Amino acid sequence: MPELSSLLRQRLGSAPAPKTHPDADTLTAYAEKLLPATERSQVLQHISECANCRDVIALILPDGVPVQERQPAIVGAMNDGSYKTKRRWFLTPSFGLAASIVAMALGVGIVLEMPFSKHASSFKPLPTAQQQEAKAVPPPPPPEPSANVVDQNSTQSAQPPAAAVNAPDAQVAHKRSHEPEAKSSDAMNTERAAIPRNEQVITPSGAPTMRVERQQAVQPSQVQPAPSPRRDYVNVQVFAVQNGQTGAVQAQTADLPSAPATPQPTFALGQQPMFNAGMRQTAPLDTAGNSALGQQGTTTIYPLSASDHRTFGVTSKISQVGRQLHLKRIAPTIPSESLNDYAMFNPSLARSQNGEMAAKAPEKGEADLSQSQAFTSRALSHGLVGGQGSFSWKVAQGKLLKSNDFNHWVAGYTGGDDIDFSVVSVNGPEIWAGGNNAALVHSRDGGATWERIPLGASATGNITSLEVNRSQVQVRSSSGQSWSSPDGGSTWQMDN
Amino acid sequence: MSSETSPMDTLVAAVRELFENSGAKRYQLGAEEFQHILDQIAVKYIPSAPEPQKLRFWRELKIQELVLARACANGDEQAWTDFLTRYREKLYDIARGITKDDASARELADSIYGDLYGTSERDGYRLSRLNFYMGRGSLEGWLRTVVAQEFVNRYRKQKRLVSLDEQEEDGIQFSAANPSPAGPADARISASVDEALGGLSADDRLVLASYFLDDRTLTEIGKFLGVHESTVSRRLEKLLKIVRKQVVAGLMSRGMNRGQAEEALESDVRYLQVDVTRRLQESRRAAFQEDKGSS
Repeated sequence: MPELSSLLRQRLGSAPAPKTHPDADTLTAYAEKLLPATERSQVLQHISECANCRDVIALILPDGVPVQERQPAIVGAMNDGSYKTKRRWFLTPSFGLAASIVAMALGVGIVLEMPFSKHASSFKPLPTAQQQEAKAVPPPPPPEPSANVVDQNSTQSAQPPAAAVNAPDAQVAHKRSHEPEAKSSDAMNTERAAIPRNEQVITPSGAPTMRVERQQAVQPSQVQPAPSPRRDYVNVQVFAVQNGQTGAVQAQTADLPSAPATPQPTFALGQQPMFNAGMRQTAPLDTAGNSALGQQGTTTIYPLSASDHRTFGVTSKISQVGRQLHLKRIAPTIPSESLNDYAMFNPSLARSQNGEMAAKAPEKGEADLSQSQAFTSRALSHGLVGGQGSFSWKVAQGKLLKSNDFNHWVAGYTGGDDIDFSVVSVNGPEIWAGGNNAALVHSRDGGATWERIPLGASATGNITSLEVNRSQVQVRSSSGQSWSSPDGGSTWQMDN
Repeated sequence: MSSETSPMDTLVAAVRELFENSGAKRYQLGAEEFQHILDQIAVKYIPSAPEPQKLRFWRELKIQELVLARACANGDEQAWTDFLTRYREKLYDIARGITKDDASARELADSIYGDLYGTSERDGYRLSRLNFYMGRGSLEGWLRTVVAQEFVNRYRKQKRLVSLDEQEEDGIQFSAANPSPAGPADARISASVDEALGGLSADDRLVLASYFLDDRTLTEIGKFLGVHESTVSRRLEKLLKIVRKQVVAGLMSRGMNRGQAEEALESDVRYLQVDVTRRLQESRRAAFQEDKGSS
């Protein structure tokens, strides 16, 4: 539509140019995408009408090619051969075809294997051509027990050959397809033809099996299923521990076979490794007899205590049993200073206990302030401190103040002592504040309750700095003293 | 216990903190002058904003670069040393990137340096262009904008001085001296097109103006909008369909039937009685006057 284009060109050009233009700062901020949305739309409105500013914007925009433009460049390079294709190997069609074949083979194997693990004797495949040949030829006499032929693969098996010798010759079991899936049917037929009749085959798992073709000469009653390594089991030793708490577990697991014994690690008390055989070994809750309770193999079981009920919120006995059955609870490594803070084990409880502080999202102003440099150590010494949670804390005119909007400040210390505060340190709900005469107060709950912390009899001067790093607290006073506590204020020692 | 702290105290404390972090002490810039600069910027951009909004606005400024620029405008030697160390080569690179020519770039950059230093005086004070930097964007970006503005102004001025011989050498052909008089035009077409254009968003008008007026490529327009050129192409095609549909609707609302409206759009634009040259000259003159006023 060339006529319409000409019309548009003519009408757009006839529009009057704006009389005022954005200054260089505004254009710069527009190009650097620093303008707020309303101001940006105003600038966009202007440059859609002002050719002069369009020229300027076109010159100051970064020369970098937008991300979306790289793709056509790559395509063009591919067309002229200057771009080398780097296709991932797992995206190639051949890999997809091979993966599909493997997946199908695995699926068929699983489907075929599951029913035969319990009813191997009832499996009768259709006769193959070789089997029909075998029907025409009279069957050879059964071999002697000493004439067992062991497959070459069995020489690498960890199972002792005695298992094959002790097995009855007439036992026939379905051979599981542990051989590589890549074997073609012709190769398997050739291999099958090379194996003498009634030979006993040792699978890599060590289970004596017999080939299916020999099933004609075998009575079904003589077939014994090979022990399946994939069969479900229950660790009896584990349940022995649980029997004291629930009898239902024993009843439910009575018909399940027992698992092979797991080698017990022998460690002296206090020398349990934190990691064992790829699974995290849990630390005992105490050093009493409870530490040995439930340690089975690589899993540690702890009886549910009152704190567990509180922590997990489980009141049903069934839930307790189910939780202990799964044996998935792994106790975290708990720093000693965090033992009192049970909320760290249970975020939901932390939210419920301290909902106001945890639920309130920081407002934009607070977020900006928290990102500024207002809360550096210098700002700490000047008093304005933003705490995490609902309140911000500061010291002004010797008073410890808190605010949730930076406008209205109220007294934050409710201890009743007349302390001329000088510093405050906030770390979540942990609030430390110091003042004159070596007065130090501490709140563990965001300022709801306070406790007076005595530094020592020889502590003098006003507290001028507070440094808190978890349980490490260091206090300096105007008299030059430095006091530190390694345990969150319980004990103090003077550093100088 | 008097526990209330007024918002003004908070503002003063925040400004004091900005002052501490701005590096103003390095350039002998006092706290009062710093506060004056902040107030000046706030009055210019957010004159009636409350104090918390002012504080947020000030926190978003490039305070350190702002202090450097104002200290340079005050003639502080240390500030000029820092400025030249950081921006001298950058300014030449910016000019070279805009002009695509070394000689022109050096001439343009030197001219800008003169303006930045302040070669003219008013009331006994040297007028430095750095006084106009407000810190909303980076100082380097502001320098780039200043150089681009100067380059565009020079280009538009020099373009009118190009001789006809040079234009002929460039392959420009001129129309006949006495063109045939324009035929009668229907004012309804212009009104319908203006109405359709007025209903578009700023983005859409920017796309149309950049493509039809500035003859920019789709890639350049995509850089404007931050999208790929194929997106611009699709958007342009869609816009033309919308505008055509609206123009036809406008013509039909002005008494034409569909056939007449379609036929009117086929008419040659040269028959429209619009003096494009005069309108462009008007807009250019207004732009120059505005540029002189701002500088």
